Parts: sequence; C-alpha cells; structure tokens
Amino acid sequence: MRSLLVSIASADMDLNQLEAFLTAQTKKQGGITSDQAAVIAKFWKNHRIKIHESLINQSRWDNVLKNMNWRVDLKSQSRHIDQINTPVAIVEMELGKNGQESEFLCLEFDEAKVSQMLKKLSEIEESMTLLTQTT
Amino acid sequence: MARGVQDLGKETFRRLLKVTVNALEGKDCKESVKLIADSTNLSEEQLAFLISGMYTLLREALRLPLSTFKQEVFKEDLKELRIPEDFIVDFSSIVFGNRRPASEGTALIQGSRLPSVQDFKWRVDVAISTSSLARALQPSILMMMKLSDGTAHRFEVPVAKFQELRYNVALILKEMNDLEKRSILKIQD
Repeated sequence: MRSLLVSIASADMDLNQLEAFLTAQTKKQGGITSDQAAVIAKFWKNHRIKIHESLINQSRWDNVLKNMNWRVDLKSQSRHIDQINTPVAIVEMELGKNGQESEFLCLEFDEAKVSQMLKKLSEIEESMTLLTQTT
Repeated sequence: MARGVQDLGKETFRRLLKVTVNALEGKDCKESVKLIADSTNLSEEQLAFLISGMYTLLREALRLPLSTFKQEVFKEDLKELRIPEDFIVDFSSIVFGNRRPASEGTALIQGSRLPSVQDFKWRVDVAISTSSLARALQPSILMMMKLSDGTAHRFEVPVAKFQELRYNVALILKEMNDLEKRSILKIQD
C-alpha cells in the first residue's frame, strides 16, 4: 500500500491518471481490491495538495521565508535633528528551515527603499508570468 | 571655548571652523587638526577645548528646524557667549547657509537605526524533478540581501509567500504615502 501511495505522490497524479493507475492495480494479481482503490482515491483527492507541498518542502535546503510582520513609524526626533517627520518602515522577516528554529531579520526602510524593493518584486513577478506563459 | 575664541586670529578660527564642519559631515579630520597644531602656538588642550566647543555649538544649532530657529536669535545667543562679531557671522553662515543640507544629511545617517537593504539579488528556479517528486515543475524564488551592517542573507521564497511579500511591500508604500498626506501627523510649529 505504501509503495502505491509513493508512486501516486511522486507522479503527482491527476484524477484521470489516478483512476487508470488504480484500475490497473486492481487487475494485477495480488493487487488491491476495488474498495481499497476507492479509499486511496478518496484519500488522494482530499490530501493531494498538502502532500505535494510537503514533498516540495523536502527539497528546500536553504532558509525559507516563513513569515513577515511590519509597521510604519513616523520619525520625529533624533539626537542630531530636532524635527524629522519622515515615515520609516520596520520589517521583521522570519527565516528558517523545516523543523529548525527560525532566525528573525529586522530591517528598516525609508520610502525610497520600499519603492525600490517593490520595483524588484514586480520584476520577479513579471519573469514568473513569462515563465508560466511559455510552459 | 568662548574665552579661547576671543584670543584667536581670524585665519586660525576659520581653519578650526572648517575642521569642525568637516567633522559634522562625517569626514576624518585628524590630519587637518595636526596641521593646525603644528602651524599655530595653540596647545593640544586649547585645541581640544576649541574644537569640541565649536562642534557642540554647531551640532545643537543644526538640530533645530529652520522654521522655528531664527538667525537673529542665534546671533544674539552667540553675543551673550562673548563670541567676537566677525566669528558670529561665520557661525551663522554655516547654520543658515548652503552647507546646511550636507550637515543635515550626515545627521540623518548618524541617527540610531536598524540595518537596511544595500543590495538585493534574486533568481527564479523551477524544480523539474526531485528525489521525492518525479514531476515537480514548481517555481521558487531565491533571494539574497546584503545589509548595511555587512551581513548577507540568502533565502528561498515559495510562490505563495512571494505574493504575500509583494502585497505587503505595496501596502507599506501606500501607508507611507498616506502618512505624508495626513496633515494631522505633521508636527505643527
């Protein structure tokens, strides 16, 4: 049974592929019963996305961006300047590997830096859109 | 400082003032101070008093916004400190003249702050196949951030998280723009 699930998950079968695969398994000598096939089909329908995501995560070896929090402050004064009155963004990024303790990165952005960052992220988005169009 | 300034020649005063302004702008002034020490009959202690006094005076004056800080008031304050008239003009031209933006820029940089992103590189990878997936075809973004504190951080961003990141950055920018428009938050003079 385990090897069947591994095969299904590894191929990330859609419902048509799954049906064909399970039908072939029921016809095999020493294969599975049609009841077992129905249970596997139901299980796969319910958990396919979760399983796929989990398998993808197994091949992520770098730190992964897990979460981000932010706030916008108004800088009012400093030791060197009596009145500043400019907004500043404080961003906290949670980076970590699966099953390991996260590290937290705390950064400061002025408006120009935020704008720059958004521009870069738009470039990434554009490249991914092109990627999905060509495949 | 005030007593020491009264005994200074105009040329020496101007050289000291130039050094002080350079220090306020974050430049290294060791060599300039050494040259002044060698070419004048001022002791190390006198030089230290004069430069630190001028530095403190200018730093405090540059802290104040021009909207509330008036040149006449500043000149009067310097007169009370018994600083010679000629030198008052020089001090005033620094605080209210065209060197101010450079000093203000340095002051902003000197403020205590969290690290910021100095360089940002990215790469989009598509996992074709992995040890656990025969057909992955999953895009993923690899990011590398170099920070102002000299550290570098490399991390992967799954597509869903990337969309969340992009949305949040856009939202931050919108909030910052809105904040600048809200007059209630502009500190009134």
